[in-house]
Amino acid sequence: MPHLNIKAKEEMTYDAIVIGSGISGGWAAKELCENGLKTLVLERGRDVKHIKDYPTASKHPWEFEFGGKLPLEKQQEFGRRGARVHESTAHFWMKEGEQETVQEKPFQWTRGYQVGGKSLLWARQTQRWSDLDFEGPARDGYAVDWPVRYKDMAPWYSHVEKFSGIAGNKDGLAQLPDGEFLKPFDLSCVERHFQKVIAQNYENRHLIHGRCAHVTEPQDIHTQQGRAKCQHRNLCNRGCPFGGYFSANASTLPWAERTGNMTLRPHSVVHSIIYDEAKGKATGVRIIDANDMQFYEYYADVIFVNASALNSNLILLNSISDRFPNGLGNDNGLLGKYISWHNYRGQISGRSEDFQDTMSTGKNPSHSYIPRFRNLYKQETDFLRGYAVGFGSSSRAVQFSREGVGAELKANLFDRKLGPWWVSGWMQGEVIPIEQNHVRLHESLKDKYGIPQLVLSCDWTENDDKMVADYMEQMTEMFEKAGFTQINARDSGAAPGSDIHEMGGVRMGHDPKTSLLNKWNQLHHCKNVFVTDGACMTSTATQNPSLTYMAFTARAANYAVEELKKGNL
Amino acid sequence: MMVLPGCGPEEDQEVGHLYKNLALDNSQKQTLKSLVDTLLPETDTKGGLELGVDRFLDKLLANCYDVETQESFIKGLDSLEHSAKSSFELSFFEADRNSREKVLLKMNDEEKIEEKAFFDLSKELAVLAYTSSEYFLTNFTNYEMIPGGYDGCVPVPEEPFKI
Repeated sequence: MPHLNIKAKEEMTYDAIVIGSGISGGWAAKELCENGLKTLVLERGRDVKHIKDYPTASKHPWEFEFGGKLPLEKQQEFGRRGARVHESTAHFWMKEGEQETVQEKPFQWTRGYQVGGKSLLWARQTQRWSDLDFEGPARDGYAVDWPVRYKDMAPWYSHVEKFSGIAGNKDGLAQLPDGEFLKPFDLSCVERHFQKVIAQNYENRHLIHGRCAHVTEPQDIHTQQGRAKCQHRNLCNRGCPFGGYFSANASTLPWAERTGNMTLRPHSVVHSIIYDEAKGKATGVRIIDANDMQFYEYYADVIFVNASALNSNLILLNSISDRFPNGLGNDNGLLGKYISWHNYRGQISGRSEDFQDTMSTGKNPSHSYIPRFRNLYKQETDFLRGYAVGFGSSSRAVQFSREGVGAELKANLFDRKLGPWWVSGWMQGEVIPIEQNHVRLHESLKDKYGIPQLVLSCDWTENDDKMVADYMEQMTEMFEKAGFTQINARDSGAAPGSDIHEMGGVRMGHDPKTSLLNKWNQLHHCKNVFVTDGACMTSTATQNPSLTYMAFTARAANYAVEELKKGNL
Repeated sequence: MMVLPGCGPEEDQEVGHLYKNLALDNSQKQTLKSLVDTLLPETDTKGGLELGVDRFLDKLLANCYDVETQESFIKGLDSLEHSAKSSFELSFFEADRNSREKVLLKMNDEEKIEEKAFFDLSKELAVLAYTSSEYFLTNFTNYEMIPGGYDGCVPVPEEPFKI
C-alpha cells in the first residue's frame, strides 16, 4: 500500500499549479508552460474550447428559437436575473445555487465559471496605469504604498500587449502611458467633435480612442495563435470565431497547451491550499471534483492563485493550518480586508442633433475614453482621487414607428429613418479601499460543495457619493459645451460589484505587517504562493483592471521560474 | 434551429428540441392566425402568416412566459372572437379585414386593462418576430453578420439606401 500511495502521489505532482483559467490564470499557464514547467490548471467550471464551444457565435437573430428569450425553466436556473439572460450568452452565466454567499450588504458578484472565465465576457478595455496611480496611496494617505512603480511594470505591459493585441492611439498623456498599439478603431463624427470641444475648453481633459484588446492589424504573433483581424461583428460575448479579441480561450490557454506542459482539469472546485509546516511552504491544492464530489489533492513546487479576486480571498481564508489558523499568510489579520472596486454609478446620456448629413457604417466594438482629470497632480476637490469616463457615440439611431395595425403598421415598419446620434457616458471612479469593506468566511453556512460561504460586506462611502455628484456636474457641463441635447445625468445607485471590477483583500505592499503580498506577488509568509488576480490590488485607480492583472501575472510567473531555478522556492 | 457542427455543451443542444405549444382549441388557433394576419397582412411585402409569426407567438408564449400570461393571452383570443360574434355575428376569422381591424382596435383602450395588455403583447411580439425575420432583415435593412470594418463618419448617401 505505501508503494501505491507514493506512485499515486507522483501522478498527482506537477511543477506548478494555477488555480483558475481566466484572464490572469491563462497568463500564468502560458508563462509557466513556456518556461518548461509541468503545469496543472484547475478550473471549477466546464471546459470551453475556442470556436468549438461557442454554439451561438454565428447565429443570426432569426435562428434563435425564441427570439433570444430563454424558456421559462432555463430562466429559473439563473434566479432573479433569468428574464434578462439572452440565449446567445446563457451558457456563459453562472447558475443559481452554484455558490451561495451571504450578502451582509448588497453586492452584485458576477462570476464566469468555465474555462476562460470572464475573459469571454469582458469589455476588453485595456489601459496602462501611470505613476500618478501607483503613487496615489502614498500621496493621498490611504491604503498602503504600492511596492512597484511604473518602471517595474512597463516592460511587462509591453510583453502582454504584444501578445494580446491592443488597438489604440499613441496620445502622449502622462496619466495614461502609451503602449504597444495596433491601429485604433475610428472615432465617429460626434466623438471627433467632442474631442475638439474638450481640448478647446479644458486643460488636462482629453477624449481619446478607447484602448482595447482587439486585433486590428494581425501581427505574426497573432497569426501563430490562429487569431485573425477583428471583423466588427459586435457579438464578442458569444465567443469570437475569428479570435478577434483577446480571451484566455483563444490565446493564452491554447498557447500553453501547445508546449505539451499544460494539464487542464475542469470541474475542479478548489477547497484550499495545503501548507506543510515542516517544509515551511505550500505543497499542493485540495479540490472537490464537481462531478463526483470527492476530494483530490495535487502537489507542486509553486502555486498561482488566479481564482478571481473574491474567490482567491475565499481560498486563502479557507486554507487553515496550525501555522495559519486565520488563513494562509494571514498573520496580520488583513486577509479579506480593503476590498475595493470601481464606481460606475454616474451615468449620462443625450443626443446630438448635429451632423445630420453624416452617419457611420459597420460596427464599433469599442468606444472612446476620457482618462482621469480630477486631482491628477495635486488635491483639488473635496473628494479623493477621480474618475475616467467611457464615452460612446458610434452610430445614429434607426427610428421607425410602431403605430397602427394592418397595412398602416406594416408601412411604418418599413419606413426606417436615420435618427439623431445618441451620446452616452459612464463613470469609472476610483473607490478608496477601507478596512471595513471586507469579505470573510461565514462561521457555519456552507455552499453545495461544503465550502464555507463568503460573507460580502462592502459599501459606498461619502467619497464615492461626492465623486458621483462631481461626475454628473462636470459631464453635464461638457455635454452642454458640445451642444448635446436632452442631457440626462443620473446616479444609478447600483450596488457595489456591478462594475465587475472587484479587487483587493490580498494586497501588495512593502511591509508584512500591513500587507499580504510582496512586490513579486508572493505571500510574505509563504513564498511559493503567488496571487496575481484582482485580489492583489492595493488600490484600484480608474483603469479597466485586466491588463494590469495580465502584466502582474507574467512578471510574477517569470520571477517564480527564476526563483525555482535558484532553489529559493 | 441551426446547430453548429459538432459543437455545444449538452444543455445547449436541448434548446430547440421538444418545445411546448399553447393549449388552443381549433377556434382559438383560427383566431390567432387571423390576429396575426390582421396585424401584419400581406401587402406589397410578405405578411406575418407567410413568415410564421403566428407559430412564433404560440411557441414563445408557451415556453418563455408564465402560465398567467398564457391564460390571459388565450382569454384575449376569446374576447376577440366574442367581440366579432356580437358585432357581426361572424367568427373573427370569417370577418373581412376592415371589421377585424375595428374589433382589434377596440381592445387598444387604456380603460380596459386586460384587453389593452393583450393588444400590446400581441403587437409587440408580432413586430419582434416580423422585424427579426430573415426576410425583413436581409431584404429591407443593412443587416450584416460580418461588417468587417467601421467608418465613424461618412456622408449620408443619396436615397434610397438601407439602414
